Amino acid sequence: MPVIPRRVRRHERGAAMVEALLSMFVIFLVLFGMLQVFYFFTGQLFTDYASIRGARSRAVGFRDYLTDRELRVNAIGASGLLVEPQLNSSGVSDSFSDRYPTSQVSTEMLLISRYMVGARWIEYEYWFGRSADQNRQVNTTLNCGISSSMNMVNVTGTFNNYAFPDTSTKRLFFGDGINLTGTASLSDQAQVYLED
Amino acid sequence: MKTPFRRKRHERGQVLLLAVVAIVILTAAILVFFDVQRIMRGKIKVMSGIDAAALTGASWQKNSLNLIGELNLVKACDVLVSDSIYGIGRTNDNFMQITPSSDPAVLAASIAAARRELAQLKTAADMLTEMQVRIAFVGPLIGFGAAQQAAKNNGIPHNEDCNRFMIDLYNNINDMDIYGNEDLAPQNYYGYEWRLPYAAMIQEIVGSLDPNSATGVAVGTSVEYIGMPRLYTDPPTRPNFVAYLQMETVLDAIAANDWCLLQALLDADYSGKWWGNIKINPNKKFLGGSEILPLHTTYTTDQQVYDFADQAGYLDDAIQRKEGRADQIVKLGTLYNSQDPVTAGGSVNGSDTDMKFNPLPSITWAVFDDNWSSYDNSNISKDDWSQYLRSSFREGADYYSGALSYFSVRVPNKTLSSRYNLFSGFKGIGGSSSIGRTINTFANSADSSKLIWLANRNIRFNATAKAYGSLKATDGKVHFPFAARVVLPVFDKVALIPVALERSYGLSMEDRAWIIYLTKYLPALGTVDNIDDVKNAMDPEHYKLIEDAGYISLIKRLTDSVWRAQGIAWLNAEATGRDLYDSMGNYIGHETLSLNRDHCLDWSSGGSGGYRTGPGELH
Repeated sequence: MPVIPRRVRRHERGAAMVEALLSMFVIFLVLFGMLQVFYFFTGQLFTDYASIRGARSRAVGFRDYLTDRELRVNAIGASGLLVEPQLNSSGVSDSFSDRYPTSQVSTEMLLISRYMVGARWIEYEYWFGRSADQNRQVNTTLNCGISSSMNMVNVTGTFNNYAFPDTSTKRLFFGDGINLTGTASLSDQAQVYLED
Repeated sequence: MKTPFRRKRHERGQVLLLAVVAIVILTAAILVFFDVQRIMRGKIKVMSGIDAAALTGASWQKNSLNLIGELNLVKACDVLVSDSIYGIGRTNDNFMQITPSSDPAVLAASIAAARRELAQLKTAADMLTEMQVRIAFVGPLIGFGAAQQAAKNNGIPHNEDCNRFMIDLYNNINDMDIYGNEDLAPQNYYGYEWRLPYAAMIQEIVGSLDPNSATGVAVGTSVEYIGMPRLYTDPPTRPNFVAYLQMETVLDAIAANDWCLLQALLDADYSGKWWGNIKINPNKKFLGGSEILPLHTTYTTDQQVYDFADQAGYLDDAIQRKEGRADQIVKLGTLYNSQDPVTAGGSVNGSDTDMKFNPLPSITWAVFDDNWSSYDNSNISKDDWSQYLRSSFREGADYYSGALSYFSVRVPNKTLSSRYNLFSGFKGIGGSSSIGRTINTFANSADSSKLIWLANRNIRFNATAKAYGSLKATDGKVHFPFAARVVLPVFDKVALIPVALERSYGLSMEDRAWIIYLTKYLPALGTVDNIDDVKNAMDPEHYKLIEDAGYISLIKRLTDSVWRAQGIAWLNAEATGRDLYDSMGNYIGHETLSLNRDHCLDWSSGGSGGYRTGPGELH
């Protein structure tokens, strides 16, 4: 009688399933753990860069609220989804049609430029801990710290509780997430033309 | 011997399959991480390079202005007369002085001798003026060249568009109809034959006149060059289409379907030649110096310039800035009174007490042009900026500088995924299912250069720096460095300023497609009745550049009535509303509370909204 290769004996079927589940569990645990780590590293890169841009903004004399705005805009890459405005609601086109395929990138870029001049409010998930999806919880926030020392300006950008939003691996390994902090110091250019 | 964990032959590969999936996902994550790292590193490099370039350029503008100012001081004092090295070598006692005599021959000889000495002084002063003009050309260009090195030292590679712009400028300078045209640009400007040296320096900076091997320029600046087209429509159109078409934000808005920003254009009439007869009014302003990082200085032969600077105390302030200098030199106004010893009729002027010729009316001074002005006169709102900046401007620092060092650059995002064309590799593999169509659409978008926003994901950064200086007058107050009108060596600091604070004018050399769009495409559009005919009215290479950049498709999109109707419908659609019920709870209708167009300027009213105002660029 020919042997059917795929068939396993009756008493071994459950064992194979348990083995497969165990190995899948380990592999996916490692996989998601590493993805989380990459997520942190990428977030750290953005935090560092955003801090430098914040410091650059401060170095030419901008007030705290504009330095904060510059920092946030440059941390958008690590700030999660757009919360406000929703791209199909007021202020933005609802016509991502096939006729004129418009990229979300161009729409967001335009919104960002309007946010910079104070014409239109935008908000991303990790800025103030507000989720774009009601079924998902976000508790990450972004803070900007500004100080001066000697002839330098120092800006610190911090993502508090940074992690994949509301995932089990996040809670398993990182609790509410970890804090990502970037600091930057630049020469204070504005002291040449602004009063101390 | 079998172990419990050893799999049979047919079971092998199950974990391997999972491991492969995991490795693929992790590889993609690593790729993204590397790409992000490259982009961030590239952005920081560009920022550092541009800042260094702007500061270097401003530093050379400062040096050039101070050099020109020093030469003005030399002219304003007795250095040319009595200095053992630079002077004509006479004593102040009798230089340009006549000896009154009853003997007409003796008197005539004395007058002639004094006039010769006056002419000698004027010649010496004119040589300094020529030197000042030379500095106004050469100094900023040295600054521009040094800025390239500063940018390259920070890791910014040479930029093809900037080099092409410089080569075009070089060709313009050698064009006898533009820079060689005496009516547009005096070829001999205060003794300096500027045109060929100007072109030669540009060639040296670029390195080669072959666009394919020119590597000298890494970062660009804005240039207002002679012959630069300024566009207008004759007769005017409503709305002023050509003004809108010259704004990048309008094209951005068309690409993003930003109906809010396009409100004024959606209702317009697009029948016929809606863009109007676009005409060119070329720039004819000759700067008398380099158009790259210009100093905005000019020249005047006038004693009033000297008198004003002297009487207000500005000259003394400039002289006294170097210790001991005031003891060694004497102002010409102190040495010579304002009268000449000889009247226009040739007789002795008895009211002249020193019997010496007054040299001051013969001397040409380098002065600041109208570009230098206070913020109040430059329409820069200090009230607005007091909301943006952490404190108020220092006394004497709130002025628009004619010598701005603005630099900008676009560097392609050379990510690993784009380098190996990973996205376009998915083209056409998606099939006809809905997910497959999405993949195809994304792959086509990533691959297509029709939409500039996808194609030109460049790192862009710009920076402005300027030289700061001030003057102290006899009133004890701090004044602008140009308050004296005459250029004086009082610039002592260089600093980066917010880009949005003081705008530089002209075309930004880093975006060739945009320059060609403004200077070639739009003028050509003015000559045809149909948009598609422009292709025949333009250089094919230029047309392709514009087409690839997406500008033509965006203009055509504007003319699409279906697309515009979509925007108008969206603007007039309800954003918020409520159903109305009577007292019995029966539905009686619907009330619209607001339309989409009412929310174009929404700003969060909650605690996270913060202050609202801000300039367009926050660096």
